Amino acid sequence: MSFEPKILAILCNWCSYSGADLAGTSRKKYPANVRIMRVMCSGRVDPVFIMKALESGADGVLILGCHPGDCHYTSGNYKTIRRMGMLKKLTEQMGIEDDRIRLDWVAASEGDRFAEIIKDMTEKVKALGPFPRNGGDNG
Amino acid sequence: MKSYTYFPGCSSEATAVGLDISTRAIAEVLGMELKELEDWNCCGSTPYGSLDETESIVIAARNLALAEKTGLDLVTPCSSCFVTLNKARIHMMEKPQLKEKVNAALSAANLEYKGTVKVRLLIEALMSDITTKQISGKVKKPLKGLKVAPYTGCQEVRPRFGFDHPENPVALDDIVTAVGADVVPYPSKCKCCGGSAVIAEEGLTLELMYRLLDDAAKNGAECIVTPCPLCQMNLDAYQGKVNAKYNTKFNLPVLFVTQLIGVAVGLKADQLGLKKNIVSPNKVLAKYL
Amino acid sequence: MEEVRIGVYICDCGANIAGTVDTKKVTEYAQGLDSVVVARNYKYMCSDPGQNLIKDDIREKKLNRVVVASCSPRMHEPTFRRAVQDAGINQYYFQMANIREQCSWVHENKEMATEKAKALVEAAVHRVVFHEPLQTKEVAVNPNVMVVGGGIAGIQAALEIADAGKKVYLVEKEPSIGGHMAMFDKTFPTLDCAACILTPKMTTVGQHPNINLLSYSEVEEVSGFVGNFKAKIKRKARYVDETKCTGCGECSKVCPVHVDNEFDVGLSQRSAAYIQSPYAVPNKAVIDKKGNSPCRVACPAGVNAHAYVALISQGKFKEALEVVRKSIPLAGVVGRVCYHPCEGECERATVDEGLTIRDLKRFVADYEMKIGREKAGPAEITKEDRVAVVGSGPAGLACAFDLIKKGYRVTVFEKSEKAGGLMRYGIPNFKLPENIVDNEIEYIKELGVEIQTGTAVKDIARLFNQGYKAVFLGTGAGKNHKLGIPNEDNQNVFPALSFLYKINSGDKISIGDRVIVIGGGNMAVESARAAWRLGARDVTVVYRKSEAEIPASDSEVEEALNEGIKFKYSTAANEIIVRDGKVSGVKCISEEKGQQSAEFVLDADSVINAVGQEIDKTELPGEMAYSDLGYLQVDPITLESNISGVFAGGENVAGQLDVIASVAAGKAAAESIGRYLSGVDMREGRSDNMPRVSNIKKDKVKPKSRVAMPKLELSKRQGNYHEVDLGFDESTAIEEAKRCLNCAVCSECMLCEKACEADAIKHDMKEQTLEIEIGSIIVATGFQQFDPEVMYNYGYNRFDDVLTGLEFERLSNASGPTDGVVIKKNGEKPQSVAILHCVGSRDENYHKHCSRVCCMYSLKYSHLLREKLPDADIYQLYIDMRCPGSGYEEFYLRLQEEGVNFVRGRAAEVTNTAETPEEQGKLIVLCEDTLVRKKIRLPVDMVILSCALEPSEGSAQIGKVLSISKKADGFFLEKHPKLDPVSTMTDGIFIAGCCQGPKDIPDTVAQASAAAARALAMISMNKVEIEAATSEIIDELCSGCRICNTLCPYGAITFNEAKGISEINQVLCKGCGVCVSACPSNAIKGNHFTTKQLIAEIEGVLA
Repeated sequence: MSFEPKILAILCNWCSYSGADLAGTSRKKYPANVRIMRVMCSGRVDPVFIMKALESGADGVLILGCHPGDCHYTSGNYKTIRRMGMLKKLTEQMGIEDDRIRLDWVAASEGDRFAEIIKDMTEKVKALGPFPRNGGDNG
Repeated sequence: MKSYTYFPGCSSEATAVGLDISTRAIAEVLGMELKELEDWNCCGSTPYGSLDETESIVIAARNLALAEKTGLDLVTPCSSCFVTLNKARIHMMEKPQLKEKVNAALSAANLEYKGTVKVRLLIEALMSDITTKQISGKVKKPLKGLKVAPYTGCQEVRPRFGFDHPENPVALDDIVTAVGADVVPYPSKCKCCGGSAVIAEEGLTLELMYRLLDDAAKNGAECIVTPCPLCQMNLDAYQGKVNAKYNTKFNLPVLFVTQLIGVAVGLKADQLGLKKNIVSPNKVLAKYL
Repeated sequence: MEEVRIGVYICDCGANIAGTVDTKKVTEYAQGLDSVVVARNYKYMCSDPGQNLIKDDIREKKLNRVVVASCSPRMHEPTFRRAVQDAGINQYYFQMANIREQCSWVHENKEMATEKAKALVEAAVHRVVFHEPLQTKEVAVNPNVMVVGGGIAGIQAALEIADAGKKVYLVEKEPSIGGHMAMFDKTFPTLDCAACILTPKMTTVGQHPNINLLSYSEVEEVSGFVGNFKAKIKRKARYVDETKCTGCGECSKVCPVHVDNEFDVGLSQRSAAYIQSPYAVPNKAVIDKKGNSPCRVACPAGVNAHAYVALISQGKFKEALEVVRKSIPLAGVVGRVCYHPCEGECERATVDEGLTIRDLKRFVADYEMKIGREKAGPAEITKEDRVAVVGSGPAGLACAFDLIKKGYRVTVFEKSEKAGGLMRYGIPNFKLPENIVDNEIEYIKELGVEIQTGTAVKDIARLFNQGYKAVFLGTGAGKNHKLGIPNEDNQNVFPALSFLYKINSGDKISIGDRVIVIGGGNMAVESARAAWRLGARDVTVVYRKSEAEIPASDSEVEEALNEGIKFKYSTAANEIIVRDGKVSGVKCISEEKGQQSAEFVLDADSVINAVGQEIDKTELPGEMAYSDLGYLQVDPITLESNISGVFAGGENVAGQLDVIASVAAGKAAAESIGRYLSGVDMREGRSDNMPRVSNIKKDKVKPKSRVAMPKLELSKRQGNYHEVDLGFDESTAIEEAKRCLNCAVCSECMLCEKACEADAIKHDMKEQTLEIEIGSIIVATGFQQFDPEVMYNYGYNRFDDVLTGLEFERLSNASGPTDGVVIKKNGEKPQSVAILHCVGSRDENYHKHCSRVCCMYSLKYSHLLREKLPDADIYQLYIDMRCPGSGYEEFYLRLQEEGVNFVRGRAAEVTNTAETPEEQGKLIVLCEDTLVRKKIRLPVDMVILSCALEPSEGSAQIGKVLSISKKADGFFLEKHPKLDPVSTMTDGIFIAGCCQGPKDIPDTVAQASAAAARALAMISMNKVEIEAATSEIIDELCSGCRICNTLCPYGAITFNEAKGISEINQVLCKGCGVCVSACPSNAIKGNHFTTKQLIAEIEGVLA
């Protein structure tokens, strides 16, 4: 049985969550590995969430917000960029592959793009294998 | 010195020898290192695709797989080879299943196509990498007063790969200006020369060629310049037949863009394969050679 | 803590979910989760029975948490929250799992989809445990409404609301409301005249007591939230007092500036002062003034160059000269010798060549002389004090001119026999004829300035004793520099100043055949040219530096070269060689490239020393203070010297100066003297920085070189001092002035002010900001027409007679540029017209969408053409005919019966290359008639392009201000495309009309009424619920680090100095949570998205 990764996607209510809904109403197909949770703004995403997710069973974490300049709350996504940047520096040191944690932007009208990102992320994380949350020994 | 993998294309060894000779000649002068692709095969062009699409992509992909090994951009002077190879690349990029199939076939020759090689048209490489500024800089004999009608042909601008505008292409015009010659504007600039239909429908294509030649001549052109080997062949080799059918006296030399550049940078006629042109350019180019 | 009792409900949604997700398995799974009391599966949870299931369970099973796994919470979260609340528990004790849009609809693998659904349900179950009973807030609703955009949508919405008795602010960025509909001729399918049905509504808007029409205004900033918005509106300056303007249009008639008329889509011109259309509301003029034109800003003396050029272009020469004389006297002088910094800034130079602004000034001065100048009336003397001016050069005369206009009595003392200073004595007549100087001085005298010639003045104290209260020294620099080389005092070595003085006085000088002029300024070159006229055959100008560095003007040098004068550059003169007491040559040395080469001798009979001027200190009062360079020392701003009440300016202060700079100095001194004598501070507000206009429209200008100044033939110049530049005639001047780009549009020539009988013109009006408070906003900013110039093959802007739809509307409109007659550019009536559909629409390369109205308006055009040109051949080239709607299909049938030719085939190209004699001179449309499968060539006289509707620029701007989302095609995103087309995602902001998507007028009006109804509903409820999920700071945990303070985009977080902690304003907070994740102490609680809840959700979904 080939490895099926679990990917947690945290989506912001206004843009990316709507974009994901649009992918749904347009019946765009993408892999079922992703599990979505909703926050109001990508700026709500605490780096701790990402670490918690990886610890709890996610092999990859995807944060999707509004395109820079289009944040419903004006500037929330800019904070997200900075936070994720800092987090990446840490995770790099820890040896976590860059492709496991991804920050991207999806507008409310971009159902196609949402599906493409999920496909791409799933493929990439699949290729990386399970996240070694117990020191390389995946029980 | 920029290095490229050079894909001459079949016509470079037959009807467009002049293109191949002049391309290699000016490459040296302009600082392009052209390394001919080892063991290249015919790209398949338009005919193969109408027989079997997948197979036609495989034979194009073979060239791409070979080119990938060099790590350099693949450059070809032939518009048709460019479109065929680039289309194959794009199809395989968009359809992973197709790519798998192709690689399955290529594996029989111990080859693999990864999708890393860039396919480029010679004239685009001239414009982007060398730039008209540098070409101007290398001009020894500015072709002052030479009235040139630039004929881009269709394959260079369709489908839209982002280089040059299909309704109003200017790259060739810029090169003509860069070598000091005068661009002759003429309305039929974007009309078809007949392409490969000349084989099956000669009568129809002669009409198209007549209109092009007539328009260029009426607007004062002394010669025509083109990047495409098929356009060059049609307008050059069939000029006599056009004259016979329409009772005209066209005597317009049809030069390859590389030949035009070659004259301007001071190369000699035999270095540029000018003898291969059927309508002789000797008179028109006499004062520059 | 009480026991958590959760009810879980899995919806089938018919087959939408159940078709892919095994809902039974999910329900089973849910039942087995902690704290889940009951788990059910039902076909349609959102239906009444479905909701009742939940409500019954809550009551009977004492549930205190509910999870529904069904569609997107964006769909039905409010529905279920209401149900839960009805049954008696707080609505926030509810969580939804999206297993439709984000699961069953997007996955094919049923097993994986079911596993995923289980995970999502588990996530919701874990999360809901930690939910809290939040209370929603109710806020009052401000009953005022702001409508942005005054087209038909905005007008309709405003009227609906105003008629319901509520107050509306209608903000429109153009000077008049009406939008695009006001430009149309007729409307389909009824063929009502657009203006006829629109203008009554426009008038009502203008007069309605409940509508505050803010025209020529833009919304700059909006803050707040639903029911409580604050908007800042920029009211652009009209420069016309709306309360006084009667809309008579006289200002527009006299305005000399003409620019493209936007209302006629550039097919005609309008003035800078204009009324937008014959039915403008408000029917008030507006002056299009973008700033200050570059030429005007460049003039050191503040002459309004733009204004006089504009007036000349309309043949208003007298008024043009008046404009010059508002700032300076000496127009005829300056118009000949000024170094024209204005021309250096002329934006026309970026198109072809700058205007000959100086020569145009000369023209109007000469014109006045030609037709006879009326004697100038004496200026009104209003002041007691008298002022003395010493020196009648440009500085002195300009100072006197300004002073007499201020009402002071002025006496000018001039030491020479005649007044004029270097203007008369320093510049030869072939450059500046004496009679011009005489005329200008006469004019100044007629104003009342007293000029005493032959009177040198050195004793300042005596002037004050005589009763003058202030003195201006315009004494210039009248002493020639010494060459500093041997033999320079020989009788054949002429200092240029005295050489020119003699020539201009009519004295004879013998200079011999070979003349060397040492120097490089205009004076040197003019001396050389004078020498040539005296008969010298060999004249050489010897200049120390290179050709590029020579200070003489290019035109001066060019003319000298024409006259045969030689120039030797990089050559220094070391010694004048004298033989037998006479000059025989000049020993020179080459100074090329800093290297000195061997000396050589240039033969000469005379030498003219033109190396420069300095002040003659012996001619000035002894008490004066001097700078290090030897010029008069004055305050740089006030121009006051070391002696109180004594001012100085011009060459006596600054050394070599151009005439206009001396004039500017004289004016500055006059200002200082005026203030000095009135006891007003001399320094305040002196540097008046005029902002220079930028972003000048030049794209449609056809290159045309500047006119050449006619010159006296070379053969006629020898032996006399006749003026070389002959000046323009009237038609040339007008032709040249018409090349002006009108950079700032309005030139402030002030003719409108004079023409306005209602005294409504106010050029010093300033932009204002109005702050308003409203409860809701309706955006109705409409569309703009696609510009087909990018579609090269259609020939728009390349061929005459290829028009866009809007251009044709104007052509056909009786109030348009041709009074409704359809004609080609050459004035002929077209015999055949082709209308091309889908230009820019349904096109991968431009706009993918269909613009919805083009088929219908194309039919309309065919009808209008048929009416106006009964015998014309009319073709419509279409892909599909889209005629939905009441009466639309019938309209299509009617047009077919009117004999319009319908060709099914999208046009490929419009060309003018004829292939047959019949095609000569026509526009040929190439297309394929797909119904008969033939390629056709249609030779026609006119082509109309039915262009796409695209989102307007105004929409893009307001979208940014309000932060409302756009769809992929750029139009505003509605809340739900089917069920809620007038709301946006932001509560309280509604959209109507084409800004939401292309549509026709009936649909626009309907949508506008709908948006108005929404706003009215809010207002009638008087209150609105706002989201309870805000963030709050837990006092005890807050360390007062203030990291959160700057994060809030709404300014909701402030620091309480007294308590030492930060606080969040619950009304301003929108609950985004950015501060929550930033707090290092975890002191901020993001209600309904608390860390506890989110972590639980993460753990649940990955379990």
